[in-house]
Amino acid sequence: MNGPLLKFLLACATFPLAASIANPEWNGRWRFDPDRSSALDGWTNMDIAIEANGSKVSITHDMRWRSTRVTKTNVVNTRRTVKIPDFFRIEARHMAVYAPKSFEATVSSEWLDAGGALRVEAEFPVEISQGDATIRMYSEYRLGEGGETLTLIELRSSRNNPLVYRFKRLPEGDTSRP
Amino acid sequence: MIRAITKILLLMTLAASATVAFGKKEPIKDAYSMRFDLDWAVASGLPEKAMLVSLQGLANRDDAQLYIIHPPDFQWEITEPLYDFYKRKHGVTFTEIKTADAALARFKDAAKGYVVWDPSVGPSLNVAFTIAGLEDGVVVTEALIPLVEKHGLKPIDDLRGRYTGQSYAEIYADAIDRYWHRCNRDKIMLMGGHRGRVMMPAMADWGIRERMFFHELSADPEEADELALNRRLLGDLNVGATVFGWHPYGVDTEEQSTMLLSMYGLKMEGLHNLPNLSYNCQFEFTPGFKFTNNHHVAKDAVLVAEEKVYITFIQSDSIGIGVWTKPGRGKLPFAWQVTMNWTKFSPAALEYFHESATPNDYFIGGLSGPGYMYPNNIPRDRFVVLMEEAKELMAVLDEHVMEIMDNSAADGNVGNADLFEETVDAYYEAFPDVLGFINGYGPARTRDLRDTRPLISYDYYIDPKRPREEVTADLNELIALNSKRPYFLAVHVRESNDVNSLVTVVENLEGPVEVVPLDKFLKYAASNKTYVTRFRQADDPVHFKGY
Repeated sequence: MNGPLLKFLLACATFPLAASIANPEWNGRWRFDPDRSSALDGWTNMDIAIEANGSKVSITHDMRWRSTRVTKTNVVNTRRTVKIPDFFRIEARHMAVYAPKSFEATVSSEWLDAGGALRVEAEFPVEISQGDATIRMYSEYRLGEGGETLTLIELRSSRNNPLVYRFKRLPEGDTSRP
Repeated sequence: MIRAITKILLLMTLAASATVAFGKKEPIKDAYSMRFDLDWAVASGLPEKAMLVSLQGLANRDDAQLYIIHPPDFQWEITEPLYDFYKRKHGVTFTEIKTADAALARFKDAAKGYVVWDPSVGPSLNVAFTIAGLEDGVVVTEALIPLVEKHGLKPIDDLRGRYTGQSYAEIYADAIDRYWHRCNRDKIMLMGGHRGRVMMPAMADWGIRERMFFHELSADPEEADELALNRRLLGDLNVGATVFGWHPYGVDTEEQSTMLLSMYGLKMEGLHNLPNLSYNCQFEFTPGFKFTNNHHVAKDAVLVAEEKVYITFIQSDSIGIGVWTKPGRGKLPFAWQVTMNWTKFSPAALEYFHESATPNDYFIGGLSGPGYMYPNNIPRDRFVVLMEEAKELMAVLDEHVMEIMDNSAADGNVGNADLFEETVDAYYEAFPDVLGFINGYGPARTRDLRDTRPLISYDYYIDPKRPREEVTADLNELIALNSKRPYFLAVHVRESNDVNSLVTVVENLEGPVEVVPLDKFLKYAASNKTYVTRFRQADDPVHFKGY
C-alpha cells in the first residue's frame, strides 16, 4: 500500500465522510421566528446566514436593535478546534456581561446526525462586575425536515435554562434585512 | 425712639412685600375640574383638548382654577389620586365642567382671543401655543372658531396658510424672529413627543401660563438646520434655566436631546404630556408637612455584608408614571427616583407620594442632578452650581442617595451608560454626605468605592416585556457568573413593570439571596468591595459620538 492511499484511508477513518460534508440545504439565510422562540433581550430581530465550504462553516448574525444593525460572522471548522477573535454570541444586552475589548474564543464544531445537525462548542471570557469570568457555550443547529426551518439550541455553563431560537428559511434572492 | 419705631415699621413693610414677592398666595378653594379621554388624534380629539389646555393655562395664570383628570391608563396615572389629595388635604371643592362649551363659558374672561392653527401643518400648533401664551389666547382649529366666537372671543392670529409647504426649520426660524424676544428665558417648552396622527401636548397649560417658546426642533446633527436653531434657543436661555417637555419621537433621540441641553448646563423636566403643572405649581406643602424618608439604616451606621447575594430594586422613570399606582407596591423593598424639581412645580404630588408610601418605599434623588441631565457633558462650572441645587432639594426631601444617568453614548436602554473618572470625581466631591450613588439606566460598568460611599451601576435592567421566567434565568445567570460572595446586584425596574411579577421572580432565584432596601445595600457594598473599580474608557464602544 503506497503512502498517499494509506493517508486517505486513515483520513476517512478519522473523519467519516458522511459527517464531514455538509448537507447543501444548510446554505442560505434564515429569519428569526419570535413567536416560537426564546425571547431576545436587547435585540429586536435577527437573521442568520450559513455557508458551508468544506470543513469551514461561516455563521453570520445580522442583528437589529431599533434602527441599529450589527453584522458579525464566526467561521468554525468541523475538523479542528479554532481560535476565533471577537467571537459573536446572541447576548442578552440588559445583563452587565460584556465582551472584553480584545479576546478569542476557543471553538470546536462537528456535523452530527449525518449532516442534519451542527454542534458548536465555544469557551470565551466575559467581563462582569466582579472582574472576569469564563462561559462555555454549547450550540446545536438542527435542520428541519425539508430544509425550511432551522432550530438553534443554546446551553451556557452559566445558565441552567437552555435557549431555543427558531428560524425560517428566506427565499433565494431575498435581500431584506431583519 | 421715633427712629427705632420707623426702622421696625420699615422692616415690617419689607417683610410683608417679600412675602408677596416670593411666597405663593393661598390657592382658592372653589375650583373646577374636567375629565379627558384618551383620544389625542389630530383628526378627532386633539383640537378640542389643545384648546382646553390653552384655556387651562390662562385660567390658572393668577389662581389655581382648573384641574384636568386623565383616565387611569394615561401615562401619568396620578391625576385622579392627586385630585382626591387636593380635596382631602387642601380642602379644595371641585365643580366638574362637562363640555368645552361650558369651560369657555366659565373661563372666557381669562382669554383675550383665539389663535387658529392648521392641523395639516403640525408645528403650527406649537407656534399657536407660543402666541397664546404671549397674547392670552386659546388655540383653535377652523372647526372650533364658531364655538369660541360664540363666547365673544376675537381673532388674535391665524396661522392657516402661513407655513404651508415650509420645513420645520423654516417655520421655527420665523417663529423665533417673531416671538422669541418676548418669551420667558428661564423656561422653554420642547413640545415634541408624539407626532403625526397623534399629538399629546398635555403640558401646554404650563408653557402658556409661563409664556414659554414652544418648539420641537431636532437635536440630531443630521438635521443641521434644526439643530442650529435649537442651539440658538438653548444658548439664549438664562443660566440655570429649565427645558420642559420632551424630544420629538422619531426625529431625534432622547440621548441626543438630553446630551445637547446638558452641554448648556440646563435641566430637563418631562414629559410633554405631564398635565396640570399650571394648577399644581400654585400649592405649597400642607402646613407642618415635612418629608421623612423610610430610612432603614442610620447615615453613620456600619453594616457588614455576609457571604450572600444582595439584590436591590430601583425605579428611575419618575414616580409619577408606572408602577406606583399598580397593585403589589410595598411587597418588595423598592427605591424610587424622585423628580426633585417637583418641590417647586408640583409639591402636592410629592406630598401625595410621600403619604402613600409603604415602609418598603424609599426615595432617592436624581436624575443626575436637580433635573434630568447627562453629567459627562455638563460644563464643570455649571456642574458645581447644579449639584448645590440638587443637594438642597435632597435635604428637603430627606434623601441620602443620588442616582446618576448618562446615556449620551448609549442606544436607548442598551449600550454605554458609563461615567468618565472625572465625572465620578466631581460627584464624590459634590456629595460628601450621601450613602452612595447608583448609576445607569440599562446596565453599566462604572463602579467605585471611596471612604464609605460606593458607586454601583445597574447589573440588570428589567425589560417590562421580557417573560418573567427569562428574567429569573437572567438574574440566576448573573448570580452564577459573579461567584464571589457577597455579590451586589442592583436591578433597574422599568416603570411599566409589575411588582407582583417580581415577587415571583425573587421566589425563584437560586443561591443565598436577600432582597434589601437600597440604603442597606449601599452600606453592605461599602463593607466588602467584591466589585471592580471601573470608569468609562476612551475606547469603550459608543452609539452616538456626540456633537
